[in-house]
Amino acid sequence: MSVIKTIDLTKVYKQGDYEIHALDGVSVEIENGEFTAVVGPSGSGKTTLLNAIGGLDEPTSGSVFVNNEDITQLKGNQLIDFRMKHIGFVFQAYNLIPVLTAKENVGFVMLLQGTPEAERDARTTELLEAVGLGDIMKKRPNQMSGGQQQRVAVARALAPKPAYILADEPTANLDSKSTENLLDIMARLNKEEGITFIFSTHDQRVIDRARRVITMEDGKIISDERRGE
Amino acid sequence: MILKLAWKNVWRNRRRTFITISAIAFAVLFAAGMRSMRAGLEERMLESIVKDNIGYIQIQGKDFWDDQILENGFYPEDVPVEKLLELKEILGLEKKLESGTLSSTGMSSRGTFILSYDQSEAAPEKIVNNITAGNLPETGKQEIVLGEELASYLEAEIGDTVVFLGQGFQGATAAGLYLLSGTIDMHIPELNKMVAYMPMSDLQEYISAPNLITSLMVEVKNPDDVDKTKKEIQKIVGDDYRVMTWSEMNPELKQLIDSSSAEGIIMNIILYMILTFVMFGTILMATQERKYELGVLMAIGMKRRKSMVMVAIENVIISIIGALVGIMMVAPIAYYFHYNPIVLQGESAELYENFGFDPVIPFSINPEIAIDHATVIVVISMVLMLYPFLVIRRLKPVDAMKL
Repeated sequence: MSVIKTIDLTKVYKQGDYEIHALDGVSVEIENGEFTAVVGPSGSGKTTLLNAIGGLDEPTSGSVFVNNEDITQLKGNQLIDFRMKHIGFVFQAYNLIPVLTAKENVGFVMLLQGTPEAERDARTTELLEAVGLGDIMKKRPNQMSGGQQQRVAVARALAPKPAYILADEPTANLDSKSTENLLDIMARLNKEEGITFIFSTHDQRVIDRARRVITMEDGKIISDERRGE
Repeated sequence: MILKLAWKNVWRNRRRTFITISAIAFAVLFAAGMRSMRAGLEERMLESIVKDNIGYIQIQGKDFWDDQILENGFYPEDVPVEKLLELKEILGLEKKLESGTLSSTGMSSRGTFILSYDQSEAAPEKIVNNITAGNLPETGKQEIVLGEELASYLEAEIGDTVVFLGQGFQGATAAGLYLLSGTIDMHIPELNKMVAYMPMSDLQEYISAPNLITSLMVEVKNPDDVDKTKKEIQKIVGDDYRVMTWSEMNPELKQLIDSSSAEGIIMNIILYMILTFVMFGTILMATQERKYELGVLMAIGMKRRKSMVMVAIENVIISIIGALVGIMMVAPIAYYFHYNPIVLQGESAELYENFGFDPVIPFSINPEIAIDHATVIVVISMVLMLYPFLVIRRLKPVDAMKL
């Protein structure tokens, strides 16, 4: 049974008299526990697709079903609640809150959810240890390397126990070692906890580790390849 | 956590925070400082002219104000004093007797305004504190004090005899020789040129009118409430007496204070407008800079309302710190100039003296002034919060993160 299903999804941006079709009738189904890479050249619609799936961006037409709920019908706070409960985001630029420590960044979403302090504390510690950052919990983003920041971002995305994680070019700013390290962590979480990962990426190292590769061009899916373990 | 996050955000861009805090602090300093100066001046005017001389309210014989002759005076025993003192607004009553006469020594003479004080009570502080040389007159010893400038004009030294000649009660001749026991500075230059003080019973004897007074000066609890108090007094004393407030007795002073206040308000409005633009500039910059971050917060699940609360807390923190710093800056200045007033020189001094005031500018130390201005500034910052609220309300995470 699919977790995510998009039906004839379009997103049109207007630039002066021109219309840019960032998504042009995209229909795709992603099942529970997949480790999927969405690839394609810049401007092919990868990020737009992820944003639509995550409820960050409103499509021009079409539907996005997540657990059988059409999220394009959700408005304002409903959409924010939906994201908080079901989706973890990992951004290319990490997007950690600069004034908070690693631990506070990870615990922030749980705080917004109203998770009791003791539970929050235990989970953030567990997650930071899981991503190998148990020793820098009190450091702020500006005291961490890019790789460390991205691992904190992954821990943050995992904190509210989301069903799936959307990662937009998560390795774009990382060196080889940090990339391998991050991919190992994500693969382990995918395997052990069954979390669905969807990446948009140019990075061959990520593509090589994905079990499904969706290729996009000009807002359309031009290939969808499933691989074995 | 929202509070903690807001607090940390305040100190994230320290330079911007310090600029905003400084702008608020200096606005409080200038606005409260200027108001303190004006209020100090007004307080001094009210104190020297109203409180120490005419009183906030006077009870007079009904025709006295229009025709200020002794025959329009009255006897205090005819007034229901006890009933008046039952009024909560009244702190006390002071008998006043005033008369005009001619004073003379050797070849010099000048029209003189004789004031008196009730010798049965302790001598009023305003007289005791203003004695610049010699002593208060002793009752029954034919002694007087003269205004500094009058004594100087008459070339009278302490211990010299001054001749008084004038008209007494009901056509009687008033004449007497008085020993100069001291000089007084009334802090009103015009008055210093023409005033003489003596005990009331001596003045009553001089004018041949035992027990007569020209007015009862009312000491009020709240000077801002004189109109209401006047009505209550009038009800008690009836139509045989006229009750007047200080602004009715001295409309020029009232006008002067009102125009000074109006000028102050206009200055403050201009200052607040400048401050509003400075603060808005900072808030605008901060909001634009943080759109990306607000978009991220929204993307990871922070609701708009919470983002607004966070931004509002940040602004409240900055405004309150700025206002407190402003209060701390203005307080020592106001205290210093309250006890060491600015002494005007040259033409400015003459201008003040022509108006009948001492050429000094003391500052008021009324704490309400600084608190009021600080509050206004905090309120302005609250109003300016509408801008970030509007931005957050319209913010789309994906657009914000594209910045």
